Amino acid sequence: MKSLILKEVNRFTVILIYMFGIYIILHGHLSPGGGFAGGTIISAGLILYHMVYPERSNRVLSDDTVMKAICGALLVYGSIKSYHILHGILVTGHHAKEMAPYSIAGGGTLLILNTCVGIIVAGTFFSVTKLFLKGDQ
Amino acid sequence: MQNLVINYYDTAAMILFGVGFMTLLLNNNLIKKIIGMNIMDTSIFLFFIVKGYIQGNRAPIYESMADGGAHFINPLPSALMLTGIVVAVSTTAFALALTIRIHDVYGTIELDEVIEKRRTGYERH
Amino acid sequence: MFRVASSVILTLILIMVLLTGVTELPQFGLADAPPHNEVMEKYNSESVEDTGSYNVVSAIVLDYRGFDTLIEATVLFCAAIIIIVSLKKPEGESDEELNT
Repeated sequence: MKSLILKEVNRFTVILIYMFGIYIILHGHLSPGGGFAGGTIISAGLILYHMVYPERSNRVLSDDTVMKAICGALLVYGSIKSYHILHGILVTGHHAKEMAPYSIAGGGTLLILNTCVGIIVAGTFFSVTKLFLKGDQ
Repeated sequence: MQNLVINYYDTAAMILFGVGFMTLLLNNNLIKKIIGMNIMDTSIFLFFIVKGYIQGNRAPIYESMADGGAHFINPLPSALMLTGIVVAVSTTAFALALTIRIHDVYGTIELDEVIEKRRTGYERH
Repeated sequence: MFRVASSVILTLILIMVLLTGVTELPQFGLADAPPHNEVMEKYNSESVEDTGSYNVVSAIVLDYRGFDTLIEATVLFCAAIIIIVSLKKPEGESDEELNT
């Protein structure tokens, strides 16, 4: 992106895209959305940031950092899900949740699972697109 | 024959499948073949998600605590096709990466030129 | 010319066979179709007590069938790794040397 108008306009719109994506991830258990849709929107924001500021993006979001974030999120999701499966096998009985209805924290561990899926999707799409764009520059 | 008009979503999904298939067969460019494969994937998702609709019911989201679960559509086909969509995206991305490698080695993307180059003995790197 | 004619005939035969299958399907939108059984009623009515989520599709994808989502995240991760491996250039080469 070699145009000055795009760089100045994208200082404001990139933050709005991130806010929209984080809102869709956090309210995944109250309205349609969830991890996959929010992760796609955040990946679109990351690609736009990479096309407008290439030097800053290569320094902050290098290949190492993105790969470590994806691996960490996958491990966290796997450990929480294994705990749920073992808890269902080993413990009989059923515990009801007492939280305020229609709040963000009312879903229990669904919030962490949604966030992990969002990080995995956004990181995968961003790193693949960064490789495809490298041939142009 | 009445069933083809009553189930118009399934008819449209099958015709879209045929359109994607013909795109795959008739074009020489590799990128157009990949687009045809993606159209075929999308038609199968449409065919499957439509199976969950019940007439007169609404989306399966509780809007207030007094909602019963009796007026919701079937949530299961939508939830199962999320995984399928992710697999289709991964396949398309890998096919595009292979196209870049073919262009690096042969210098062209048209499939008949690649076959011609391979037949007349082309030394690769 | 032979290629275009054979592709058109093959696709038309394929669409005819698939549309013959569509005529046997149950009607669109009726409440007593085979997919709507007691599994749907269990998911629709007891999803708020079990998981605390007001979105039934989120509860299915992340809680009742959350193991499938773990395997699917692994598929995404494998796709990213495969693309990085296949597009990597060896040390000491640049983009201009490979394009002949």
